[in-house]
Amino acid sequence: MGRMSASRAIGQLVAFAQRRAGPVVAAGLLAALFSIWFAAGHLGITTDIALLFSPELPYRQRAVMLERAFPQFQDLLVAVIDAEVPEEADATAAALASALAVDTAHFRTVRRPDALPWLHREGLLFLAPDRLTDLLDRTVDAQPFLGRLAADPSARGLFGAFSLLAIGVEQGGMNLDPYQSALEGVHRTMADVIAGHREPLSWMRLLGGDLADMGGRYRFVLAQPVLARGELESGGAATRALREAAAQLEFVRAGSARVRITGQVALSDEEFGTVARGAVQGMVISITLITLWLFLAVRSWRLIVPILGTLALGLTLTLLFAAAAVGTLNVVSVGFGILFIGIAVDFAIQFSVRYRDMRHRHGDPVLAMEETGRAVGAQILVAAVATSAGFLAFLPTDFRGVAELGLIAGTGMLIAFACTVVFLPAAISLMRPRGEPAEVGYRLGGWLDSVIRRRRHAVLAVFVALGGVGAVQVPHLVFDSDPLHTKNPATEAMRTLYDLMDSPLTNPFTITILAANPAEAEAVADRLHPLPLVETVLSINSFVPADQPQKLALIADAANILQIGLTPRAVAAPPSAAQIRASAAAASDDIARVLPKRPADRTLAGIAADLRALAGASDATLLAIDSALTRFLPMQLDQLRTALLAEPVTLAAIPPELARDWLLPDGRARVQVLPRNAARNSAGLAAFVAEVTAVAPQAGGSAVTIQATSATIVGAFRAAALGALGAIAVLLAVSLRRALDAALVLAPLLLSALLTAIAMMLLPLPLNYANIIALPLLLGVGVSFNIYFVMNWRAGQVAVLGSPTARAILFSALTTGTAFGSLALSAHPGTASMGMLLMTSLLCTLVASLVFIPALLACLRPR
Amino acid sequence: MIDRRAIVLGLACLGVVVSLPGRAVASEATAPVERLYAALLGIMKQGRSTPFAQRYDAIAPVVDAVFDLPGILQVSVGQHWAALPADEQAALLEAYRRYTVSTYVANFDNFNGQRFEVMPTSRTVGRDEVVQSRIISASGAPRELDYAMRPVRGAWRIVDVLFDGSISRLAVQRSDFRGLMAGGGAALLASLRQKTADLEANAR
Repeated sequence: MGRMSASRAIGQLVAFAQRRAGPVVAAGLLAALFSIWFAAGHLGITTDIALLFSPELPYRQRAVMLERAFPQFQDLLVAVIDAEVPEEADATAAALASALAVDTAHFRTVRRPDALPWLHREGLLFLAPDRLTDLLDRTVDAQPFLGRLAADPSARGLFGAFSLLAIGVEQGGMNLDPYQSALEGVHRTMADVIAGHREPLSWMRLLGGDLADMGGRYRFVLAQPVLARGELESGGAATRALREAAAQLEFVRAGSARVRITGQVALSDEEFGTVARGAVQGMVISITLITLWLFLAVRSWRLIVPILGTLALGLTLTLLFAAAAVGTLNVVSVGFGILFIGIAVDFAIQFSVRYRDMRHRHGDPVLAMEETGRAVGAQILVAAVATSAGFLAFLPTDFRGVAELGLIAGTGMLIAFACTVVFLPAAISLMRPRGEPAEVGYRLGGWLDSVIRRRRHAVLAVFVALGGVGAVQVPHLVFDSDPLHTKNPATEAMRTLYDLMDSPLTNPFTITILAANPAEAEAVADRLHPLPLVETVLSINSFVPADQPQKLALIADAANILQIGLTPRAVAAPPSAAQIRASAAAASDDIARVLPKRPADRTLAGIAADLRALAGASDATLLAIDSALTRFLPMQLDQLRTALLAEPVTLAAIPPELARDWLLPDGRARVQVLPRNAARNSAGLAAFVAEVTAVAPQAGGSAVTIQATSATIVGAFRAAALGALGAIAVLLAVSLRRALDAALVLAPLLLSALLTAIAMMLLPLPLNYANIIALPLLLGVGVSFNIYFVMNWRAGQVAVLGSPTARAILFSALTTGTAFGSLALSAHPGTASMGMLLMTSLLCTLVASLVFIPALLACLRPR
Repeated sequence: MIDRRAIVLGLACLGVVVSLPGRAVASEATAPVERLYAALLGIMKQGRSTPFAQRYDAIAPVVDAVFDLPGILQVSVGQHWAALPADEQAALLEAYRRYTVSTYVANFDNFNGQRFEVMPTSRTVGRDEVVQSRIISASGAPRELDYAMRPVRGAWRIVDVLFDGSISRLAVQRSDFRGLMAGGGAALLASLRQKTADLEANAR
């Protein structure tokens, strides 16, 4: 068995297919139909990213364990609410949560973990003692207002309080200093409403100052949607329901509150949405262009139709194989189609262009076909086997997504070969293309050949230098391990996520550790806290405040002063506009009397002016003032009453709905480690994970998973690249049986890889989860081109670029480049960067094949 | 064993009886307010013709009895109180007592047919009973005054007064004193003495 006998065997196969063209094409059609029917019933698609990796990896097992332990954090749609005034955000979040809770058709669970009643009651205990003292002092300062307003929560009550203050100043020399900030807030709201801008007064800010915004400006509603499994946008219906519910809410309609949607479900839905949107456009553009390239390559629809038929048959048979062997495609292996077309079209073009050459030489179609099979069949076989080996090299890696892609595409290459030497000749002979009067190779190619041959030493020197530069660059190639960078940053879910990442409190990249019990959780937290990249460490113990006796005493002291005023005899009925006007007039008079005593008090003067304006204002303005001033007052008074009832907090006193986020039924305790902002990029995150796992090796969580995943991916590609190179080298050595020939194929392959590395540094185009998949393709395409040239050279062909092979390579590169180029236009950055990398590497391959090889071969050729 | 259980049971029942709110408590709680108002009516009727000191002596024992002045002062001073030396505490209490009594003498110095009304029932807020009352001037305009009552040293005593039924004297005083206490107990003492002197001077 040798190459010559393989050539002969393939020639006979081609001749056979040509003789039985009708039955072969019919069998091909039947096989295609069966494949489509079978694949439709047996081939599924999963969007579960977790399935991309071997379940035996320790970090995957930890991730699965954590997912099972805390199912409430899985499959979330997260509504992120912010508003101009914190109360509006609270009210919007509460209304949204209750709207979603009744929509059981779309939502399994709805929670507001940041708004538990327990947190309202015990909230004050979580403040540092000095801040608590400050807050309570200010609340006591505001008591004259609070007491008055508890009895009459309206503008009338507030103006009545002004009157009493004025009387206090007039008669008792009362000190107004403690009320300055409150008076200023009220003055600003009144002045705004009088000026026509209606923004409700935030009593939370008025009473709490900056504490109102301490928990961050965002409120969260966590919903677990009912997912439509099997659909690409599985949370689409629930997301729409959430959006509709949010649009109905008062403050959203008024434009003062904003509800945005993020969370795993929204992120992956959007991701598949953008991938799908780009895909349709890209498909249309690339099919049009590919047809154009095919036409330029073979010049006749009588050849184009067989080529397209061969591609379609090969693709459906590969689908059949995928359905039988794998069953479920994942988000990586679903890309086998584009890989298949990109390489299989090359086989078909090689065959067709060489067929045209043979027709030109021999005239007789039957003889031309046999000669084509003999001349090109073995070349395509070697290329197919080498490419297949490149793909199959991924099989032993832990990156299951690419391993499965490798299996499908690797087998697909062999299928493509079979289709090219059996179906394509049969289909061509049925289509009866006309004879070829002219040379098939390009004249220009012949001229270039002579130029390169003359300057071969200079050309080689340039490539050696470039190769050297590339070799230096390779170790510096960056792998961007941030999975967010492959997603479209313009989508709502991504923009929201980036907003949240600005605060360490809502950074999604955290580390989770399961401790045996709360005491051990505390011990771990104590060891992690001093680490330089650790912002904070949370556990169930974080919900047991420190210094409780001191704080409880402070709260009890304030409650002693405030409680009676907050519990009035009776609450007055809402005032009429006339009553508000009368109280404004009275307060205006009362303040006017004391203004001369306080000539420097701008705020009091401002309030007096506001009140004077209101005394003559329309009913509508007065009612607007009433609403703006006191809309959120009852809510805040209730909150204050509740907060003053704080009780000692022990682990046992933490309510179960909160404890379940931190404790497992078996007593194990979750510890969550949040990184500092410095850990936001790939390198920072890696350092953060390294710091924490040095203390707690069993750590899991998103940060650990991301780091470990990128290690798995890079490891898989390194192993696969070495494996593929080794396998291809062995294959070439066996099939070409000359080490020099194998080296002649591998040298341009390595050169194209090094050129790609240079291009990636210059663009810059870092490797990421999506585009790294392009690398095996580079291997496959590069190796095919080189094999054709080297085998032609062995067969005695002198002109390289003037040959039909060069024409075929040019158009097969254009075709493949077009398919990939359409990816580069995708709105999805991962897909786009994959397209960019494929185009870049294809260009480098083309340069290596069309410039480097001719120069190399010219050097070897005896004069 | 049985005896001890009976005692425990008996004590528990006693506790229930004692803590039962109702008319009995309300009347006990309203009594000090009625006593204060009776004394105020007395000095109002004496009027400015009676020397300040004499009116002062008439009302002072009532104020001492019906108010929990040490408690009010302690809450008004707040967290700094415990840190003050005992003699300073005593001096502050005496100054505060003089200031409180003088305020009453200065403000209730004439009688024009005003009436005090104490509602017979009180409302319970936490551990306190709140007694509601009104001061009705001759012109008929009522001012609501609520008294927070608490059992202190074996009797119901006033621990806070709420003007207009809502504005806490304790809170206003706390805010006022906090600023003064920034200068230490001495500043508060000086301020109280100054205010008392002003009241007495104006009353003459």
